[in-house]
Order: sequence, then C-alpha cells, then structure tokens
Amino acid sequence: MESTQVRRYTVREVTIILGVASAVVVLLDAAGLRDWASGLELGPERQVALAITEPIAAIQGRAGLQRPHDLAREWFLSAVHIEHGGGWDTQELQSPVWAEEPAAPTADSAQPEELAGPPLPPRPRRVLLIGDSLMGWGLGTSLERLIAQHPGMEVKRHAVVSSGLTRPDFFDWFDLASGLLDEQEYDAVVCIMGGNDIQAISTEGRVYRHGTDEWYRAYAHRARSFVTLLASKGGRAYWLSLPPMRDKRFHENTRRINAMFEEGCRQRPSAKYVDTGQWIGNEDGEYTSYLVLEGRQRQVRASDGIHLTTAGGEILASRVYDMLVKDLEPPSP
Amino acid sequence: MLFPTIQFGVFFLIVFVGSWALRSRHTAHKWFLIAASYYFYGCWDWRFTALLAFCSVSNYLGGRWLAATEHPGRRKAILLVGLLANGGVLGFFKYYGFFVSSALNVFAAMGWRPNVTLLEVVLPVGISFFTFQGISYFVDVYRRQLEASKSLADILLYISFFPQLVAGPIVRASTFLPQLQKPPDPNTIEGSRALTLIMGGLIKKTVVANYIGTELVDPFFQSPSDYSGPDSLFAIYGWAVQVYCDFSAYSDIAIGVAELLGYRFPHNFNQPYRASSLREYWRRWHISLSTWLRDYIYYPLGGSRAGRLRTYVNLYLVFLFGGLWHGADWTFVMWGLVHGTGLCVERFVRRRMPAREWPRWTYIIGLLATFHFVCVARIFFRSPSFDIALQCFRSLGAWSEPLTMATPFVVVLVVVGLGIHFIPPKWSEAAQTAFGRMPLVAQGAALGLFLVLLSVMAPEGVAPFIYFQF
Repeated sequence: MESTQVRRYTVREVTIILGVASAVVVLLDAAGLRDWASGLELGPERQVALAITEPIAAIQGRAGLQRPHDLAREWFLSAVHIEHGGGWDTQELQSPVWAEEPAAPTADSAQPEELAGPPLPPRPRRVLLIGDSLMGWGLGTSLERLIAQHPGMEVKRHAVVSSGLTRPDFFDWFDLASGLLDEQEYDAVVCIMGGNDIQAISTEGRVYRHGTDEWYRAYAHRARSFVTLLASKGGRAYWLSLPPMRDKRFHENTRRINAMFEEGCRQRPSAKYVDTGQWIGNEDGEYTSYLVLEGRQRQVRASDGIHLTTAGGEILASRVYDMLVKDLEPPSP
Repeated sequence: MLFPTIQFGVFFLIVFVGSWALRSRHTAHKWFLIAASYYFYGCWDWRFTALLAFCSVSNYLGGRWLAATEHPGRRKAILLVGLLANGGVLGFFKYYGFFVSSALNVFAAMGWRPNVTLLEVVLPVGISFFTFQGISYFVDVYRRQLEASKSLADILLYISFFPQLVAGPIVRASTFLPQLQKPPDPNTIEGSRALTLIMGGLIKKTVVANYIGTELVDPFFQSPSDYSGPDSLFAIYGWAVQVYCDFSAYSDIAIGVAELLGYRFPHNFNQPYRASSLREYWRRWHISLSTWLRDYIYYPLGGSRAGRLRTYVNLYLVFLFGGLWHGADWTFVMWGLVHGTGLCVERFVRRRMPAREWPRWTYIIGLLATFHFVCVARIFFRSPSFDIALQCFRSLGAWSEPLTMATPFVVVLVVVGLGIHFIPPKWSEAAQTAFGRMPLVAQGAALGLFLVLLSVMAPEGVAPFIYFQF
C-alpha cells in the first residue's frame, strides 16, 4: 500500500515559516497585539509590550491594513448572531466617558433603614445583574434563574470576567452600565465587583500605585460615581460586598474596597450595601470554604479561595433573591 | 498561560529559538527547557513549582534507590514508599476536601458531629497528570522495564516538560527519557504534521469548543429544567462535541509544539465517536490515560486472567478510579461506575455473541449505541451535582416543547465536531503532505493568515481547557 510521504524539516525551515507567519499577523492584526498588550497587568512587561505594539499598530492602522480584519470580524459576529464578541474577557477599548477628579472621601453618614426609590410601576419588576466573574457564574447564574422563575419579575445579566473599575482601558463599566440603563428602565440593579481592582490606576498620564493615598482617593471617587450612576438610573442599587477572601492580604484589600462602596451607598438613599459575609462566611463573617447547611457539609468556595462554588452561589443567590422580592414586591401575574 | 493566547505564542517563539540555539550544549539545552517549563507552570501559581520540583526529585531519588537495591522485599517496600509519595501528593491536594467532608456527612447522618477544622487546600493545576507520570516512571523502574535515570535534569524535564504538563497526554517515561539521551535532531522535524496539528487544535478549541460552550452547553447545564427535551438532547450532543474538541485540541497542540522542539509524543485521540463499542471507545479516547489505567491498575489487579467474576470487579475498580481521577466529586464516581457497568455488560454479551458473527450493519447500531451511552454518562461528568444531573434527565423527557437553542451557527459547529470523526485518516495525511509541498514562505503565510482568521472568529478571551481542572 502506498503511504504518504511526511516531509522532514530543518530548524531553519521551521524558523522561516514561523517568522513569515508572525510577520503576516503583525501586518494584518497589529491592533489585536496592541489590545493584548494593553490588557496585561500594569508593569514593565506591559510597558515593553505596548512600546513595541503601539507604534506598529499605529502605522498599520494608518495604512488601512487593520480594516480587513475588523470588517471580517464585524461580519462574522453579525452573521453568527454573537453579541459583544461572545466569550469570557470582553475587551472594549474605549476611553472613559467620566471625568477623573480624585476627591477625598466624605464623612460617614448613616445608611438609611428603608431603601428609597422611584415608585414601582404596575408591571413585572425588572432587575439588572452586573459584575465581574462573581456575577458570571455561581451567584450570577443562580440569581438569574431564581428571578426568572418568578412570574412577576424579569431579569437581565451582564458579567465580564476580570473586569472592574480600575482599568476602563480594559473594560469600561461606566459606559456599559450607562448604555444598559438607557436601553431599558429597571427597578433594581444588583452589582458585585472590585476583586480585580487591586492594581494601579492609570489616568491622564498619571499612574497611582495601589495602596497609595492617591489610589484610594481615585478609587473612592470611581466607586461613588458608579454607585451614583446605578442608583440614579437604575431605580434601586444593591451593591453586594465582595465575600471574605481566603488570602489574608487579598482579604484586607477587598475589605477596603468594600468600605468605599459602602460609603458610596450611604450617600444615596436608593442604594443599599449588602454584606455578603453574613451569608457566605463563618459565624464571624470571615472566610470559610465549607458551611453546614441542613446538617450537611457543603463546599461554598472554589479552590482559588475567591470564587463561589455552585452551592455557594445558590446560597448567596437565595438570600439576595429574598431581599429583592421583599423590597420590590413583584406583582402576581 | 493558555495555548491559544498571544502570551503563549511569544513564550513559544522564545523557547523555540533558545532551545535550538542551545542544541549543541546538551545539558544547557535541557536546563533551558526545564527553566521554561517551570516559568510556564509558575504563571498559574509560583508556589506550586516547589511541588513540581518535589515530585520530580523524590521520583529521581526513589528510582536511584530502586536501582541500587536487589532484594525483592526491599524493592517492594521502596515501590510502596514511591506510590505513597506520589499518591499522597495527589490525594492530599485533590481529594482532601472530598473525603473529609464526605466522612463528616456520614458521621453527621449517624448523629455524630465531630468538631473538625477543615484545611483550605488549593488544587495545583495539572497535578493528576504529573503525579501519574511520576508513578509510571517509578513502577517501570521497579518492573525493570526502564533503567533508573542517572540524570536529575532528565527527570525534572520529563515531569515538567511544558507542552504536556497541565493536561497531558500522559507521556510515559519509557517514551520520553530515551529521547533525552542525545540532543534533538534539527533536520528531522515533522513540521507539516506539527503545524497542521497545532492549527487543527487551535480551531477546535477557540472556535468549536468555546462557542458551543458559551452558546449552548453552559446555559443548559446551569438550569436544565428550563429547557425542552429537544433542547436538552441537542445540548448533550453539544457537550460531547465540546469536551472532545477542547481536550483533543490540547493534546494536538501539545504534540505539535513538542514536535517543533524536536520531541515526539504519542497520539491521545483517534476519532473516538466512530467507535462501535465501549471497549473500542476507550481505545480511541484519552488513549494515554486508558493505557495507563490498563498497565498500572487493571493488569496488576489480574486483568482478565483471574476469572470471569474477578474481571468484572477489576473493570469496575479501574473505572471507579478513573472517575475519581477526573474529579473529587460523587458525580465523577457515578460517571466511572456507569462506564464500568457498560463495559461489564458489553463483555458479558460479547462472550455469548462474538462480534465476528455479527452482520456488518450492526456497526451502525453499535456506533449509535456507544455514542449515546457515552453522552448519557457524560451528564454526570458535566453536572455540578446529582440534582442538576437529574434535572437533565427529566428535561430529556419533555418533548412537548420546541427546539430553541439550535441556532444555525451552533448546529454547524456540532455537525462539524461530529463530522470530523468520520474523515478518513488518509485525508489528514494528504492535507499535511499538501501543506508540506508548498514553498516555505507560502507555508508561513498560510499559517499567519490562519492565525488572523482565528482572531476574526474566536470569542474574546479564552476559557481554560476543561481538563485543566483534573
């Protein structure tokens, strides 16, 4: 029987192939390389990657060589009816629409006992769920399912993995949330995010390293602005705190982030800060991987000590759902 | 660091150039690959590079110890220590929470609630793969099928070599270590095979598996009771395609990348859904795991030579182990038991009706039955709990509702994912040959255009490979 001849290559030949392939990619999708570089964590690696890819992307863009790629992608996504590029890390590289003016946190004010909000219209309650990976699965999917099953409630969920408020160059939540709330009237917005924000803030040519006073001022301003946006446009805003984290240092950082959102909620009568640690933590509200529920040990946190397991998501979702039903009083069909 | 990312592309180009540049200095070449592999692994969590080194060094020392010992009793004792060391690492990191919480639940059911503080154990990525490689080396040395390596670098590289480190294939020491005896040959790279495997793997993962996952499988398994019978069936077919395209993609890319660096890995998949029996299916699916379980568990238990009843028990034990290997959860145990039962029943039937007496058309029946059996078992594999699995089965019975999830794009992906199982192997060889006959610059341009096309079609971001969790 005749067998096909497998060609043997030399290293030099493979090097030529890989070199030509790399050149073609740079020629036709330099913007993709630049977007990848800008999505890297702030640091020397990102600086080097951007220093190389940005000028190339600029030249390639001016020459119009990126256009075929972008047109093809646009056509493909519309042909297959995939929204927002599908997938996990949606990168929409747009400049932030909000002004960056670091401001000092304001003095404490008491959290109102009753959540204020516009009158509830005689129609099913509309709830928007937004956030990072914590809203992506576990909590997000369980909460979406619970709300969708209620005949007097409607729900929409939008989660973007690895997103937060420090990197609008990676994902601009102000822009997206504003757009979603303009598209449709909601009675409540439930949000959880902040876990990806332990990184430097770069704005208007200045970089504020995480942990500095400037960073906290800048982040507190963003937190306040974002809560204000949700509460003013979304009827009622429910800000779910990041759950307690296993890593002590990370937990301390997320605790401070939570405090800034709590402060933001205090200033808005229609915003409510919800401490998730009371439901997903141990008796003291601290991190635990396991909870005893109905006499059974259930693992509630994923192996990374950050995310929730399906069981953990269901527990938290049921508590949030109860709260929403109580506050929104959805009509019977 | 995931294969279908620019980060990996840059990393690979550096490793490719560096490793071949150091080829003439063999020891430096190996240490360079070790450093690259530890960097690759450290991108997930630097802390676990120490665990990787511990497993490698302990297997190296154990192997040397075995080589220096002739007394059969002592050799057995050393083997036991080696197995406990490898198994202990795997057991602690992967199964601690599962077994302790299961035991506490049993105690609670009996009315006893011991006050136990559960440790927080983080699962290192790829631990099931590199501990199995360590065990295979140790056992092969014990069986004198392989000479204990005198080179620590060889064992470090064997356990950590980055193409197969986190999701296989489970390369045997007897396959890989001999390749480290001399520098890789720079003139015999099967470049067209390697590049077509990499390209095929990239499209299977980034387009087929990822879109089927996000558009069909993930929504269904989040809440199966919300879907109709036709939707459920379609999603379960989709899951079969997704898991094949995801896992075989990793293996294909790993094999291709290793080939470009001058090393040969064995095949891990051979069109599994064209199998007409479960036995054949396991010879085509995750071949490196199937053969590992056969050689290191099934045969030592006596295989099929210890009597009929014992053969059935052995099959069950192997698949119970195989289920637990995939994940520390009762749903994986159930998946293993379902497969064990299927193989026992099949073996029983075949003993009474040998396959050679069956008419040819029964191949189609066998193929359909095998595929659907695998799909049903995989419901347990994918479901996060028995409750969700039961919802899937209930939804499968609700045929009064219409099919809503079958968008043309997803249908095409599922059909393509199944269709590639029936492409004659000659075709892929012909494609490799045709690619290899093009001028080098044309091959590079074709590869570059393929990568651009991939970025046109791929979803934003890349989900981790499914088998990373194992």
